[in-house]
Amino acid sequence: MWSLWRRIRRTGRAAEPAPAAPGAPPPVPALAGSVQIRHVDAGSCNGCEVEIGSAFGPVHDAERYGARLVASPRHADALLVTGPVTRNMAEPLRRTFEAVPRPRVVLAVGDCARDCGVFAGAYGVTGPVGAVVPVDAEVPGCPPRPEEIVAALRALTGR
Amino acid sequence: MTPGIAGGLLQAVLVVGGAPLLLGLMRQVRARMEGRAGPGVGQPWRDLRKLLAKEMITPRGTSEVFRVAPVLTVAMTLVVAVVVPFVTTASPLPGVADMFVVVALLAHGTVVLALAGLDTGTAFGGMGASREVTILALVEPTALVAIFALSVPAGSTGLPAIVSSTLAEPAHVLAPASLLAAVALGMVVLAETGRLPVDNPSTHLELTMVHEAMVLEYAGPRLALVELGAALRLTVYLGLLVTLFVPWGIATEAHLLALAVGVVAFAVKVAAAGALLAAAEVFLAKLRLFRVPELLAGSFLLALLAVAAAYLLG
Amino acid sequence: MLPLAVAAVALTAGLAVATFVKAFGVGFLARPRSPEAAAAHESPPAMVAGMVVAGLACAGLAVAPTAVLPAVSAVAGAVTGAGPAVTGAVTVELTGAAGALSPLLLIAALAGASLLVVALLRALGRARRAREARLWDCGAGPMTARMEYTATSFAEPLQRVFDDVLDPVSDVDVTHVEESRYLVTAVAYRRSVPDRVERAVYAPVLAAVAAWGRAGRRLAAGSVHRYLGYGFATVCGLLVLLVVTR
Ligand code: SF4
Repeated sequence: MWSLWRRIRRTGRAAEPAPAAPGAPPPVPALAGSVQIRHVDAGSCNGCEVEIGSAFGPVHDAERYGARLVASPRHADALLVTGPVTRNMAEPLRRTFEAVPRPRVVLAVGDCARDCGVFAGAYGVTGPVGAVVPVDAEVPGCPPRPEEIVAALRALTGR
Repeated sequence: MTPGIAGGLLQAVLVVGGAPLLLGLMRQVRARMEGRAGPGVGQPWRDLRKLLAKEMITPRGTSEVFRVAPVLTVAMTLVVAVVVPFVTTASPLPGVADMFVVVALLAHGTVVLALAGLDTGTAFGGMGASREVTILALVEPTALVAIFALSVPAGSTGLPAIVSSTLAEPAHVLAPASLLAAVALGMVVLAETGRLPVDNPSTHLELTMVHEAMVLEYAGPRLALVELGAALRLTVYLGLLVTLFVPWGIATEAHLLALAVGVVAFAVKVAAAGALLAAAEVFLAKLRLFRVPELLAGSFLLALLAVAAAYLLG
Repeated sequence: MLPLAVAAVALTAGLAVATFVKAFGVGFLARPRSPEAAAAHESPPAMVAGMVVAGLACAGLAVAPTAVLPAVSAVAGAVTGAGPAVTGAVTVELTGAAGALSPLLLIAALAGASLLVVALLRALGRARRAREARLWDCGAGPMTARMEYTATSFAEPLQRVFDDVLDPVSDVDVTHVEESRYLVTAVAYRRSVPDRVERAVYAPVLAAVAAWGRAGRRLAAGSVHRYLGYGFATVCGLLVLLVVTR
């Protein structure tokens, strides 16, 4: 316990200073200041998941802007979808979207989610996320940098 | 009667307004100790405001129990907030302010949510309900016995009487019976409010959930009630603990100044207890579910010793 | 002695909570868990009426125990020779220790608080009507009755806690595929909680009584000669007794 306490003291604050807040008001006023997020892996290579994980880690700390990952789409305001939508995940993705109470937004994270990326044309792929559920915002990159994911989330919360 | 009602309403408003802030404070303390910046103390209030503006969803196949449960949990905790002498010992419902009633009300807040979890008919709802009730069944005896131990020196199970007796004789707090009961009740608070090491309030993994698993189906305003209810329970339990063992500052007469002191003292005491709990949680890991009963059995034993001490030494 | 009594009562209260959540939750809530339950229908009114009366009586006693308590405590007082243990018209007040509770006031307070919460929710919430949606089944599904928690699964964690007391009997049968130990065709799991008191106390007593009965049956085999023999032996015995004691 003491060694942990010493480490806490030594590390201090790991979070990087926050970049400037987004100037534009949040697109969905009801979600200002608080966006709960359900992450759906629709068939990604897990590269995007690693970056999302670090976006919510201590260094980038997306939670300080009012974004929080939750366990159930019923608790969520936004879906964070990664990967090309595979045939097996098309229906679950649609159902997850239906389970989210309105107002709701969908964020397509990564090149795969936007246009199938390197998996375009593969036999198991239905199409990009936009072909299955309406997408409100996209984060490009393969994988996108955590800073960009955090910036997209901040645009939603407006903080 | 009038100062009692005013005091009770004041307590209710204070607890409802402060509960989300307490939750925010605890999350903030944890975030800072984990090297994060944290969303700020007001985040739970922002979450609640947003949830209220959202759509209400009724899953197919659920009954009235599912719809009524969040209202009932909040209502039960509200009654407790009015009845317990958090700020002033003048209770608007003197005949109801028995400690056994308080414990029963808080337990029933859990029971209705467990029923709602069962009502959804999902595997996780049932799992959460089953685990929560298992913990409740083991915690309840501890709470009752510890309270009994506290009521022995005061000669009454009424909370105002216990608080007044402690205020009159501060040495009572350091009596072995009181100390043992304090530790036992502390464990009760941990288990009942779903904190580490019994339950992890920030888990996202269904299989490790206890409280969260029961409420996976709630959305929008009903979820706001469930979350508010959880925050209220946390505040009320911590408040109960500090009221019983650190009662100084509680108003004993209906002065405006005394009430103001009572409000400030309550806020400071509960915030300190919450911050301490949050800081302790950083050092703890969740116990395996089937190790939890051992912890609770230990607390039951302490409560039993407290009663024995109260009779033999007191 | 009193601390132990309190502990026993408290433990019972905890277990009672679990029991009633299980009974009500599994019996009345969610979807039917078996085809038989799905085909259930309401009993005729005459049968329901009995339940309703009993239920109303319970609810009435819970809300207004003061209506009958004076009579009960008078009887108890007469038996023990002490005064009435509880007094009060609306609140129940103990005479021995300072303690009081009033179910009626409590229910009124609860109802008031519930109404307040609902009113606030109406005033603050923007949603007027709830949308119907399918149960959240993690996107797969649909949910079947087999996925629901049953009474057994609900009570399992608690049963495990009291394993040493209940001493349940469980056994697992694993059937392997002939070709390989690594492949399994079926796993059967059985668990029952036989009553320990029944096994430890009743069973030996019942066995002894049965043995006694069997011995008696061997004596009375239905043969006239044997009965005459018994009579003869008794008379002889009596005569011998008379001779010896006289
Ligand atoms: S965008 Fe890149 S990192 Fe993300 S899922 Fe696709 S291939 Fe993986």
